[in-house]
Amino acid sequence: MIMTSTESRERARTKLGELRQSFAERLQSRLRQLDGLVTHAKADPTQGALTEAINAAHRLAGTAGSYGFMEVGEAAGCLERSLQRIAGGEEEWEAASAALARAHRSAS
Amino acid sequence: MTEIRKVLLVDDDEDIRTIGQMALHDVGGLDTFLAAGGEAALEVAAREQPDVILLDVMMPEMDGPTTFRRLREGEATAAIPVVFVTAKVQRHEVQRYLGMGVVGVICKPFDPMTLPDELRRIVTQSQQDQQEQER
Repeated sequence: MIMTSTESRERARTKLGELRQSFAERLQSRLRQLDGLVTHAKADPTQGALTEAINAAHRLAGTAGSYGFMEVGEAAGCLERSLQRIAGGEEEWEAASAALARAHRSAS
Repeated sequence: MTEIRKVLLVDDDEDIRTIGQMALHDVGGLDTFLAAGGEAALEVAAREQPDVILLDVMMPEMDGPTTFRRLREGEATAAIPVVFVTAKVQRHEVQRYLGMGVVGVICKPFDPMTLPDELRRIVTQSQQDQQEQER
């Protein structure tokens, strides 16, 4: 059966909705993982621990927005930038915690 | 102009590979191949000969720029156009990436419903630029 372009796009939209729902269910787990990495980096602010947290925040910033969770993605981007400044020697933990809390609020 | 039919998406994040595949295949009608890292990308690119490669910049082990350099060094993959995909970047970073030889940069987050059109636009523009230079 040959689908028209409109039918094809509608089908894609339906699939996108299903993928978003599935991502929403995984989002809490990804945020908890990010919590753990940030907590670990704060307790032991070595470059290795900070890099791991920065990379996780960076991935979530790109991924959440692509699934339509723009505010979560933006908060994760803020967290990434704060963590980069911390890695550069600045005192930014308050801003980092605020960004992480905003990501949680936006996801709920 | 060469029409895009086959694309390779390289990203270490499974969620991005999933939604990217949906966008490129279901929305864009493209044959879509996936790789989770640079080494896998080199193998899949050589074997499948995609018309374009969408390559994540920040990946563990082998990052996007290193993977791009290795693709350029490979006889079978040297001519395949590469588009970097990265989270929001500054203009000077985009210029630096273009200076490496990639044909374009797509920012994450991307809109899955328009990603294939954006990719086609970048590749078409690159082909036109190349033709202009050859005249």
